[in-house]
Amino acid sequence: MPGVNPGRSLQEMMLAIETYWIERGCVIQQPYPSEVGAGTFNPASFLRALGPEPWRVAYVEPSRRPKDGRYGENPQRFQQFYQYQVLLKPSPPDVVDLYFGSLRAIGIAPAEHDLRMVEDDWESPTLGAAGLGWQIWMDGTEISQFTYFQQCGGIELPVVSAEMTYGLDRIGMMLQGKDRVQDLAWAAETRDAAGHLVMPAVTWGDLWLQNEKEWSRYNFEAADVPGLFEMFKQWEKEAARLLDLYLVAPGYDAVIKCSHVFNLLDARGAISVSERVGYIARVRKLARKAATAYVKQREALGFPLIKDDAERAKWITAAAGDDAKAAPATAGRGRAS
Amino acid sequence: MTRDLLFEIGVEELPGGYVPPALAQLEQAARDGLAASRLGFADLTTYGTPRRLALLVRGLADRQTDVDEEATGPAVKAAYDADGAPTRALLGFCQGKGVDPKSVRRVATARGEYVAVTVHHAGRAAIEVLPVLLGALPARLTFPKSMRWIPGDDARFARPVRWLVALLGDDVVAARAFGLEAGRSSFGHRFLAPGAVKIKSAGRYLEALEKASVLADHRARRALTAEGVAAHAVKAGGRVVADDELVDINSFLIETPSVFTGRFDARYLDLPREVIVTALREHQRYFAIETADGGLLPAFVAVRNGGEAGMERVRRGNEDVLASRLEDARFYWETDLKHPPAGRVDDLANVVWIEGLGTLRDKAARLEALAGAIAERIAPDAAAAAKRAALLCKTDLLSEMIGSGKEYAGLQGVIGGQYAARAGEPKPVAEAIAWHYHPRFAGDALPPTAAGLVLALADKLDHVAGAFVAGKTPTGSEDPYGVRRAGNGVVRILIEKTFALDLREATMRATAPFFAAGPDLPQAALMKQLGEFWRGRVEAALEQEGLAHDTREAALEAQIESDAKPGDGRGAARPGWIDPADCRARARVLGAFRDDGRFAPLVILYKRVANILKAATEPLPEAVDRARLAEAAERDLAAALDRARERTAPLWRSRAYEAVLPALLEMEQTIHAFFDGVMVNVEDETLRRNRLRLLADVRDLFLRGWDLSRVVVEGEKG
Repeated sequence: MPGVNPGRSLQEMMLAIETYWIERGCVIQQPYPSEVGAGTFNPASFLRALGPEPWRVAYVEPSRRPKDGRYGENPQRFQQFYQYQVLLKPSPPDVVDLYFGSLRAIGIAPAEHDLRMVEDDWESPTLGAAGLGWQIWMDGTEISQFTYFQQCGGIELPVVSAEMTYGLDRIGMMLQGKDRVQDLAWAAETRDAAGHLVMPAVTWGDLWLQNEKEWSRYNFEAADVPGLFEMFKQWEKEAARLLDLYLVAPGYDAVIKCSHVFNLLDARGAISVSERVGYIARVRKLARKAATAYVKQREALGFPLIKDDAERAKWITAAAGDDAKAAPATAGRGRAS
Repeated sequence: MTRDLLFEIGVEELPGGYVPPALAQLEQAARDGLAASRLGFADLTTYGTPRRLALLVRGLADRQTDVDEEATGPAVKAAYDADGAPTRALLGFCQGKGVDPKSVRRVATARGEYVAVTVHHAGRAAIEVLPVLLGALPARLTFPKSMRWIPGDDARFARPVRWLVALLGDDVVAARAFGLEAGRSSFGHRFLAPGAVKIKSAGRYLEALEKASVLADHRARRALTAEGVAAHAVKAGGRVVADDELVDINSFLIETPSVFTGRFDARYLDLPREVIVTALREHQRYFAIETADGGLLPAFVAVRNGGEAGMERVRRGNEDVLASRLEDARFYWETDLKHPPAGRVDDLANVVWIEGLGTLRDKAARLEALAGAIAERIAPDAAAAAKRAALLCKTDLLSEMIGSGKEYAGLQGVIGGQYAARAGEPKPVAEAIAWHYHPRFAGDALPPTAAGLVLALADKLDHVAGAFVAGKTPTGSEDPYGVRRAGNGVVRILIEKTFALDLREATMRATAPFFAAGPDLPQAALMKQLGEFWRGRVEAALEQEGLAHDTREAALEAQIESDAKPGDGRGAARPGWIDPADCRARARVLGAFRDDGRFAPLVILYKRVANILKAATEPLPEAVDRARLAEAAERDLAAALDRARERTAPLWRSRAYEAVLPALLEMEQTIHAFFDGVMVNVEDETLRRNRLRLLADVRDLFLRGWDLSRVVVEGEKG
């Protein structure tokens, strides 16, 4: 079966969408190797959206939402799902057209569907991130989130990014005409030139059904609550300590871990409604700290992704201060304390 | 000569609700701008879709009108030196105005003689004036939320602006905004006619866009949407559940309507109607269809953004989404039915209400007591049902439907009533729960039952009291906790149902549990703030009825008699706003009486009485000493006062205020005679104080209904 057919399997759809964005200058940075609730958490989005440096990135992000697990029984809800994340910074004037172009690239002809841009004031309270944009609905189903970032880590962004997040599983189900995620074709069968079966077709169910059952049990029943509370405290302390040392990447990693542990505790019902706000505020405070440290660090490095000297000079002089000088850009190489 | 003017702001999809207010602002800003620029026109209208805000001015003058400016320069003394030659001051003035110093004349002013000149401004061509005028318009529009998108520029709009069209007749107006230069290229429907659309001339805007699948005229688009929806509902075998707001919402989500019908499984009709309509309307913006007998059909009407291609797939997709929402609802509903409200009361202790004000369990206990106390005052028969409902009314916040199914959160109360009924709670209890959030906004329906009204009052009184205790008070236009809305709800219920409830007493009861739990709270200061708050809510209600400011003040500032102590009107008087229904009755009577010929003289006479008393600072005796009434005129007044009290006593009691005013008026002649024949401020202190007391009694009798000194009448200065 030569060629890529996005309607045949999810992996071909992923490939088509990735090809489209590669052709538009995106770095394919791959998923973040730690549990995240959404592609926005990946530092390739969250941190890169900060500061003045231009950036285009795209990647698949397996995302975990412990609370959304349904033991694999609900055909549309699961605790691990696949997002495709695209961030364009600054947002180009034709960004909405680019988005719809990406739908065409996976075989969706917009004029043959009911496509709506439904207003959405997106907000991630844990990340202190917010923006305006839309949910994109196709034939009544939300398939994407489109956001112009205004704030990240509580910092007003000097250059606005456009973030496009696709719900890959859902779009795949619609393209393949499947009602149940279990039936979603992940990979089509492969035959050799002689017609012999090399590898049978693999569905989402083959890959993830057992996984969903186990993780749902873990998230709702088996996760060790006192242990998780302890972990939250540890990661929280660690994040603050590392960020004080301007170890931005490990520090932000600890923030991500805090957030995930919080999500697990929340799914486990261990956090009351009134405490919830407090925990979210604690993670947000760390995210803000990471964002602030990152911006100072990039500044100390001279905003290396700005290739135009005059442009760079504009930002450096505008932002230079004692803080920037205090940020050791080379913390990774030197002594940590 | 005149031409048409077009200005179109092309934008990425705006939230539907933003478009109508933005068009109103655009129209106002354009009218202001054209007036200030002295550009006359025949007609001005606006058009809007999610992707464009447009302004079309018909018959715009080609030139500004000429204008003569009268400019005053320096004083003559400063304008010429001793030799009569122009000074620097005069030369500077003339240079600034572009006139010859010889052309100035002298004018006499109150401050002395000055030089003046008439400067003739010839009107400029519209095409020269318009770039700045139009370019400034977009920044005049404000939105609930706006955003930045241009690097290094803080310009904001609701969504990014992507193009501008500005045409005067056939000519492009060189307007600029958001780093864009206006041209004649608009854009057609995003999917049906993508690409630029050249607009030849301003007057042909609508037709050019219509060819590009865009119905820019929102009035026409709305009518077409409404027609299509109604027709599809009939075709589906029923009629559309009328919903003007939903038509508006839909017509501002699209650029051209294409209507279709979908169906859902009839087994979901077992769900409460409110749940089904919420699933259809709130999330998917679909219209429900009902049969002639009012039952729902298992079908819906939806509006798509134009086009018929792929309709089968579109229909199926929308049906699938709705099915999964209804399936969620069914899951919530069935799960919840296993947990009767009474069994959830203790779990309310796990949910904090407002930080620092305890849990929902605490709130339930407060509501129970408060509902009991309110019922005792206004509806004793409903006390038991109201108290039971008070205990249960917040349990639905713990339900799956409200707690998990966020899209159904708007059904709080309503769904609680359903669960209570299913659990076998008596009907009055279930209905009181269902309605206790009402009225939720101006014009919303009031609870239809006595227990419902009592609980609605209790819930809102507790909300207001709690918010003030927690410092969540409304300030300016900010009211994040909806405190004013709750206050308005209370006042509306009391007024429309003419319940005689003392707001101060009710507030004391509502705050008592908070004060008991927080002995360090500044009780006096909080009660004062709450008093001012409630007075403000009552005033707002009177204002809504169109009652004039001074009429409202007169009724609000009366000193009404205490319920507890019917007496001579001097006992424990209460401020006039404290009983909203009573206050409204008095304000209405006063408002109506203002057309009466006797009104103005009465007010003037009352003010004469009140002013003498205001000037007298000495303490007055408890009562008039009849034996010391020396003059015939004062004895007559005392007698007239006795008669007036006697006649009005039953009228006050029955609140027949329309009869009270004429009865009081009968004292008019004797009051006049008193002022003509009796000297009040005499040397003799006892005599003087006795006379002042008599006047004070007259004043106080009026004051039981109105403080007429607040009223402004023609022919006297306030």
